[in-house]
Amino acid sequence: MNIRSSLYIVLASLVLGVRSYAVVNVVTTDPTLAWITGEVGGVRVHVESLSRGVDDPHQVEPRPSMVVKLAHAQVFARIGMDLDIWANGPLTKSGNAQIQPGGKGYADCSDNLKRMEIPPAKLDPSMGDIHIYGNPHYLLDPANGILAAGNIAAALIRVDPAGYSSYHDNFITFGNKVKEKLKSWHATLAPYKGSPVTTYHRSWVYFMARFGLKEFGTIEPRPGIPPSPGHIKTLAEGMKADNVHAMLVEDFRSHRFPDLLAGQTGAKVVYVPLSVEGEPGIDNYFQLFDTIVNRLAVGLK
Amino acid sequence: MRTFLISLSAMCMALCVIDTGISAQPLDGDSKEGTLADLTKIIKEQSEQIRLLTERLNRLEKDREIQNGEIAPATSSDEPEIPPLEIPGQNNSDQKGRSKVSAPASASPAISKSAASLTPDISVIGTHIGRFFSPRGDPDRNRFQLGEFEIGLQQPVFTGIRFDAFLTGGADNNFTISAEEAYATFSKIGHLPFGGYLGLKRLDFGKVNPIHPHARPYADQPAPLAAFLGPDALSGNGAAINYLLPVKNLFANVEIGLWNTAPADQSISFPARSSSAIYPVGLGVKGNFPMARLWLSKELPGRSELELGSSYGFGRAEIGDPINLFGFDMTYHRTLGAFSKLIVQGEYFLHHRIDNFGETGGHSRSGGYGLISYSPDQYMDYGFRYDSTTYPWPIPGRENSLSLIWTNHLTEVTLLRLQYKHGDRTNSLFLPPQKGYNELLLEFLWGAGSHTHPLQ
Repeated sequence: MNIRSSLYIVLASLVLGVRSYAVVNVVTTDPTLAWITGEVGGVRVHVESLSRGVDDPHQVEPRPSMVVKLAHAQVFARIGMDLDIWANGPLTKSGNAQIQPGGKGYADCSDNLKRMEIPPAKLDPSMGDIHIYGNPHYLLDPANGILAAGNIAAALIRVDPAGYSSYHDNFITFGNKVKEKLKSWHATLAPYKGSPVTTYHRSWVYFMARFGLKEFGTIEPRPGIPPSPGHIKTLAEGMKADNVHAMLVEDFRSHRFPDLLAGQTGAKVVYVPLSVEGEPGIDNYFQLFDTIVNRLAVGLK
Repeated sequence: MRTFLISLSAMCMALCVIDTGISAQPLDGDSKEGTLADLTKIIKEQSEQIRLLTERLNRLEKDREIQNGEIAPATSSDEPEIPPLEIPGQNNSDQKGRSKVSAPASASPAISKSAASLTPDISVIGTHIGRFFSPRGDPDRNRFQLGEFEIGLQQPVFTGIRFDAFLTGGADNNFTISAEEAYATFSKIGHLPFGGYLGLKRLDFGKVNPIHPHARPYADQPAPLAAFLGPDALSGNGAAINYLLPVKNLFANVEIGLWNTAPADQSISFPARSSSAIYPVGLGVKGNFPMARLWLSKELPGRSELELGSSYGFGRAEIGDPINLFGFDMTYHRTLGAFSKLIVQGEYFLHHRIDNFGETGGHSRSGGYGLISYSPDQYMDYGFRYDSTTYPWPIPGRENSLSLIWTNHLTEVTLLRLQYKHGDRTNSLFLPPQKGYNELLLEFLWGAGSHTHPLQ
């Protein structure tokens, strides 16, 4: 056998061997879920997100191009709890039975979540844009990333049982990484435990609970409703009285009201991304929390 | 639960008393020792039961508080757990002797609600319209009043099948409630690669016709749509199938339908004229209206998307004249930020009618509009629209108008809109003819309840 023949054999084995399994096509509603899927699925999955990290997850406009992505997907992973209700139109239009609710490729990552802020039985629009299934921003507690990863892993296993060992091992590895990183994030925020923090929207209740912080109030008087001058005045007075040092605001929010409050109260505005790819350099779940935790710690000093 | 625990505690105390009482009674040696041992055992078991129930009660109370948002679900001291994955029916230990792991047996439920209910999603949307400074002859001139309300009933009725009904009542028919739409949507028909609609529906003819007025970025029906599709919409009762072409990176959807167009949508009286005759407006077809639409969309670099559509349908007028209608539409959508976006949209219609009765041959009429809508943030939209249209033969005249539109979104479902319109109207189809007319439309729109529409 000469060198050329050996090269052909090596090339052929590479071509045939590397792709000895079918890659599972996964579509998620959110880039954070896409990244987690990549961690759990590894080389066995190809993953794409319908929204971008700089988007407000409540207000993504459904587009026909989403239908194409969903039509070719084998697994669809969503945040659920009506946060990504905008995906329902493209999902139905895709006609892809496997990823419809109840299908084996459908993963609602909020399954088995200990939900916070489930509203009272009677809701009306005067309460603002309330989510009837509870506060859906659970991915901002890193521990809930493990829950989401578990739901995604389960869907991957249903669709691709041959990859079971790989998904299982990746899931365990991811879970252990989160547990390890949590220790350092706890350590960073430990000096500020119990500190009051003002937020723009009620996106941070799970995060606050995880790290023992106290949400002082929100710039929005009710979810989705812009603040009135009266609300800003009352909030500013309260923040000064309670010595609130920091405001935690998602990057995509208008800077107008946080900056106004900062001027009135002296509190620092901590602008942070809400999801992976929310800023340049935030390429994974750990970088996301590194950024949020470190910036908040600086703001609370 | 607390009552139950108190009862249990009382039982234990009673047992202790009994025990004391029994102890006080004279018993012979063996039986006394046996009874005491039994009672001690019972007390120990009951104490253990109470301890377990107390723990369970505490857990339940904590869960309730978490659900009510009274306390956090986890504290900094809680170590997150990595839940096991299970695949029932399979041996979950692998050859390498790893721990038993498995995945849930079934996929996630459609939606996990806080309280089970078979009630469909019910929504109400109200639209208040004010028309100011409009030409004399408009009965709604200088009034701000409820224009229309819509009740939506929506629910999946079977796997892959959803039913939507929209009942509306409008000021123009004394708020008599009628079905604007009532149809089933099939995400897939059996094992065929088709989806479809069945029922009474606003037809997917052009881009905007199927969209309900409350979801449009302006307060009125654009003049070419009013002229060729009808003052409200082109609706029909029938069925359509749609097929998503298996092309990657390009949305290509073909829809073919056969609809029975409702005669009521095809005629209108001319209140401004001395004659009370009924003239055909809109499409003008009575009966069967077979139609097809090709809808293409391509995602472009820079967070933008371009949609192109073409529609065609044909039928016959009440007196037998063949009618053909063509529609072309274009929508360019560019996302500029989390809330900021730009939409450029245009539609063009070509109506062709052959006058068999009068033997004057074929007559083509056309019209279109162009819209630019810009949203700088989540609360505001600014729009500019230009309409230019003639009317289906034999209606004479044309209308040209410019609109400036300002919208303030108070919440996701409540908005306030102002639309200033300036134009020329040379027919008396809906309003008296006037050159250089000015109109100010004020719209207040509110909604309650879960309300969704298919992707349009």
